[in-house]
Amino acid sequence: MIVSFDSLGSLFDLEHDEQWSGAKMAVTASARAELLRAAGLGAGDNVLLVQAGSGNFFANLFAVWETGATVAVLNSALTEEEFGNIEDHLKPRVVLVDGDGAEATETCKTVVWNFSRNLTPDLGATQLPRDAMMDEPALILFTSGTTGVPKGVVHTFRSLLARLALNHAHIGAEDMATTLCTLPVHFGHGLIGNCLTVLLHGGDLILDKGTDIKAIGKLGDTIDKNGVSFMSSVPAFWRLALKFSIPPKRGSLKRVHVGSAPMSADLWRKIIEWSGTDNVVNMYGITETANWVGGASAAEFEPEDGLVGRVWGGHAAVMAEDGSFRHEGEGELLIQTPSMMSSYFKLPEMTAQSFLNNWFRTGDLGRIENGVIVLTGRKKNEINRAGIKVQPEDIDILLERHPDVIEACAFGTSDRLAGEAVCVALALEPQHDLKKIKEWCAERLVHEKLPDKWFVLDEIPKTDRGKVQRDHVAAVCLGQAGDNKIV
Amino acid sequence: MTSNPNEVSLAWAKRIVAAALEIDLSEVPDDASIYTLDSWDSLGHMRIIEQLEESLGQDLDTEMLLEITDVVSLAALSRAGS
Repeated sequence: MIVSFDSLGSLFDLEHDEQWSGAKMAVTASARAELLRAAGLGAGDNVLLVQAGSGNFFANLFAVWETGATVAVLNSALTEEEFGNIEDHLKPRVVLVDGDGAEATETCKTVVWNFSRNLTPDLGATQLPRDAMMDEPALILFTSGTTGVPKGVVHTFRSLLARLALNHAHIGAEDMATTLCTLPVHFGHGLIGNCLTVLLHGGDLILDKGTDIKAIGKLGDTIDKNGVSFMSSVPAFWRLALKFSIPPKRGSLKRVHVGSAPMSADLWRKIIEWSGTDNVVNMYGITETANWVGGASAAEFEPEDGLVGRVWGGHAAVMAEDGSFRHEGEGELLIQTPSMMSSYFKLPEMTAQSFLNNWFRTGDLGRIENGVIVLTGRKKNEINRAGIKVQPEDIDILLERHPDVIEACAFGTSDRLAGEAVCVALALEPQHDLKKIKEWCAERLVHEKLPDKWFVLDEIPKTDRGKVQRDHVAAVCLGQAGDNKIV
Repeated sequence: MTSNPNEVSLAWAKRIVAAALEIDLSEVPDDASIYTLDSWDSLGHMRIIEQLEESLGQDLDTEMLLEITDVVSLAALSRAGS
């Protein structure tokens, strides 16, 4: 067994009022691993885990890792179509669900297994499973794949354990003693940073629902009642918490991480004031590095837009506009770290293109001075809606399947609350019904990625070479372009 | 012509929601709530509260803000304040 569950912390699920001691979690995971192994699951097999954060989620995750198989964690709110797209790409041996099961899995082709219902697995095993090696895949996190080819970031046991060890070294056990997670667990920030780093190093983890306005309204009270010492979230969460929750009074918070989206210096200062600690850390993390790869604490730095501090284990460099490689200066940020992904799942060309001489090309723009990174923008098209990354191409492809949509072009626009809003420009057939198109889209796209704003144009503006430039389409839609011509 | 105070306040509440979420008024039914309207998520809630406070010209008490979960409770707030 590669991942050790000997010193697991306890888990408290506030939404379901459940408590799991570390010992209970380890025993449950082992028992489930035995059942999975007996059914033939082992290294080289893929498992889809389609659950929201809970004790059962982690017991299942740890059970699969104990068998040596690979876990792909999916948002349990995905639509059937989104789920089916990823299922076809991944070809899992089994899908693990909990409770009533995710709705999206109801029509799936794979064996669905629910430990809460004590279903006996039958995976049609024909040979004995084998144990995993350190450099075999442990975790796949999908960063896109609503419609086209899903982009799954593959982490080996080695890269994952490296990130957990580095996080622990930089945060420290004392700060993580009682940790609150309000983030979903299907992406790296919530799963690896906020949960696994804590649980696997003996810290206690409290799960609360960060999208529920009532739970956000009680944040200060939750921190006081549970003596929360550490939490991590996204800027959009804090804009809500500052509005709806009174601050904690007992001074238990020792560290607050904010990441997954840009945080302004102004918001940074307000969080410091609300939380009662200056150890509010602006984090830089990307799925490809298994989550946090750098951070700047206000206890060390004066808050500044884009400041994310030094690398947490590894090195940063930039590639300047002229293609030159520099350890200091401005350009596209390049990262080397022991927690780097091994590949994008089944996408060797995309994997190769993402690296330059063994440096990962982040697609983020920034400058490095004395080893300190300041993010200044990004090269990639990605839309960051409240920390959720949305690939505009996914939305284009989906909407262009609708019979009344001639062409679609999604883009991000600045939004004071969410950081960015998802917008889409559409060229439509004359007989179109926009309301029905919106409904059709909502049936196929997970809620958090649905466009916030819809623009209907006579045609999608293009360059004289016939290409779509999202920035210009955005300018036309938002009335910021003089005309529809792109030069 | 609408003259019933309840209907007036409900129409006002629906306009607040539609304006805040930047959707057409026809997309806001009388029973629209944080649980039924797609765009009325936690961020949408914040937008509605900001639109409401701007409309009323005052910041509301935190506890009162958390009581608003649908257009009916928004409408009641209008009647209580009038």
